[in-house]
Amino acid sequence: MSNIVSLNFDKHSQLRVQASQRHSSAINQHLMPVVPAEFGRASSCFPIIVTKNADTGEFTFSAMMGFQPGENLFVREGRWDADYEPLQIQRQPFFVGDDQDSKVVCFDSDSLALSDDDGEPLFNAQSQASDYLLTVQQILTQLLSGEIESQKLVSELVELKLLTPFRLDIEFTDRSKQAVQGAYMIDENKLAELDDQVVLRLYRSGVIGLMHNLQTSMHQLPNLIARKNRMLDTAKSWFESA
Amino acid sequence: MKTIDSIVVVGGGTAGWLTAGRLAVEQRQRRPDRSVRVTLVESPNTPIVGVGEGTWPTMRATLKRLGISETDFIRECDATFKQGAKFAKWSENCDNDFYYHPLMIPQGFPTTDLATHWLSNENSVSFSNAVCFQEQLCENGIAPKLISTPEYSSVANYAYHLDAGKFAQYLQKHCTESLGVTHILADVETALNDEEGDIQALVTTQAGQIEGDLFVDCSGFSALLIGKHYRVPFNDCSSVLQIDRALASHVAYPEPDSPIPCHTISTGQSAGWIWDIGLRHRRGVGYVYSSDYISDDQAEHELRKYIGEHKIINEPRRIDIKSGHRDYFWHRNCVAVGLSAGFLEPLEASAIVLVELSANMIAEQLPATRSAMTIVAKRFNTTFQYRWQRIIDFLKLHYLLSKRDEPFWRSMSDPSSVSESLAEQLELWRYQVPCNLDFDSSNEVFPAASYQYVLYGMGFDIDKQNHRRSMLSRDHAEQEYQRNAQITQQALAKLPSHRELINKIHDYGMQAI
Repeated sequence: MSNIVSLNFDKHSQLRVQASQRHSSAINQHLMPVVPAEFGRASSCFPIIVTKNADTGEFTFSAMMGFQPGENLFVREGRWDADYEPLQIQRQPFFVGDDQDSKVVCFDSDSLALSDDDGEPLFNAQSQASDYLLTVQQILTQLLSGEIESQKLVSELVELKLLTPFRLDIEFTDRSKQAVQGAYMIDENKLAELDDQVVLRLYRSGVIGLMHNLQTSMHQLPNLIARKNRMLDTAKSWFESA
Repeated sequence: MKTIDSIVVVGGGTAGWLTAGRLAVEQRQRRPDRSVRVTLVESPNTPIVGVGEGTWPTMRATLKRLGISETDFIRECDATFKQGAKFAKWSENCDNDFYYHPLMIPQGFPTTDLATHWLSNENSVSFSNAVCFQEQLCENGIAPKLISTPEYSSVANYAYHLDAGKFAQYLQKHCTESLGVTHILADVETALNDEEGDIQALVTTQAGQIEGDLFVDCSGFSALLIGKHYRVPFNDCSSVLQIDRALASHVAYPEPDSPIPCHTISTGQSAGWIWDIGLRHRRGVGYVYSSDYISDDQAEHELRKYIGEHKIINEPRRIDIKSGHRDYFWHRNCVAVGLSAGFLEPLEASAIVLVELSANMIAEQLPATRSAMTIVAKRFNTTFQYRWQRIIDFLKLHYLLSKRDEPFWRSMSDPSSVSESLAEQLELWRYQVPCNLDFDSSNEVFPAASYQYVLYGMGFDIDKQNHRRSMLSRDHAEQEYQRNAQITQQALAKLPSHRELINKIHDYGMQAI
């Protein structure tokens, strides 16, 4: 459940955020949206795949955290278990809302990361935004511009036909099978066929680097499968010892 | 040796542009080294007929082959999705009389024969509902795919409804800008033959003589080359298919966001039937009838009664139909495609599919030299003579099984007007269901499954006593019915409404992959 409130010093001067609980909204999320600015860091932890927005059919970039809806293999025993936390988690429980014509910072007042007495304060003794809140505001700004950068990257990839669908059929240690479909990745053959001129342009504009991030992130797939297998093994030993 | 270097298409309607585009693409891919010119000559003074608004699922492959984005096509041509046809009041003239001819084959077909099993039971569920999930999608105004489904891919098989006028304009733009087709606006006055009897050039009013090696006659009912110039005999089919008039109109939706039916609605009338096609902003509604049984005024009255309270945007326009086709279609270096080759009636949208089939065969088999053309022409004629006959049979089947008692329907279902081939099949089908063996030519147009939908939708009388028994175990059949019911539920839950999908395509577009 969520309860949307716009942030306001008068009402929320005592509010604190427990950074260690920011991921609480993500425990059931198997695909976490990521923006190009964080591809580098995210690609060292998660496969970054291209999927379609179910509502619009438009391509989006997501860090893959599980194999099916409801599964996030990076939350273990209530803790965030990866070296990198995507901006979408770091920002929690805040987001940008619209108040008539202007943008305002809002938050979900039901978030488990909020507290009145524990964690990072949002305002300092001088009634100003705390360093923590300033960082959150920066992240929110990064996410807003990241949306535009994502769209630019998508149209470049679509225009040059550099995306290709892929399908994974995985069998886990408990013999259960999982098909991953509806995902797209960089088409290496198409990439290799690009004209020199185009490659140069893409290199200068940073697109080559981002595509490289997407490609190397695929090496995280075996790690993700291993994570799932470890989880299944743990469950198995739990039941067998019971 | 005379080579084929220049193709001239006469006529700028759907047939002309589809054929020109198809030929241009094929030549480009097949012979990139040799440039075969494709020119389309269109009269600036003759409007296109522009009534054909229904296609077959084949149109998806055709558009894709032309390098057209499905999103662009849907946006530019006001196109919508079509998942089949609903035939209302064809069997009996009562309100609950209807059946569907969906675009998907029956569950398990052809390895599992559910039709025979269905026939052997007392059924409370219609044939199409028992074996296919598409009737339910249509009845609920549900789209055949999701916004995230790639262009030209489907969850449920589909064709299109489109605005024929906009389609021709769109194709013109694509063919001239992307496929290198030369467009000449000129009236063709006459054609000049060489000493052999081939057409050497067209004489036009505005653009002088236009020479070519192959001429494609897409000039519509006027049949400038195949009819007026070569006088290839016309095979009149009006004794079998008696429709000879159409009244076509455009009707507004009650609200801009009214549901769009995802199928052609065809409703039997006293002397013919009314088509009802939902595009994005309007419906195309028209009455095709036989003037032997109803006056134009009466027909218009029936059409207006059908339209009822809805606002008419374009008043009914009368179009004369001469049901039939040329004895042969490819003569010397001239081949007829579209209405110039023939027309039967709008039932089952056979007009545009014949254009696609013709364009495909010409494109794929076009010889490099004039001497080989005679052989290709002969094959083309044999193939299309067969296809026209099969289409005539299939259209006739719709009328033949009707129990309506108006004179038009009695006359259309008179066994004496049935071809020998159809009569033979009907005799056979009293004892066994239509199967792929009945349709083993590579030139078939309608598959066996289509015959099943029409036969059992119309309530065809089988010989119950002597009909072939089902080889399926009860469990196996039950499983297949269950599977169909399951798919139906999943599809209804997962797929958006037709209107919603069309709006989303206009807002966001579809991805190519």
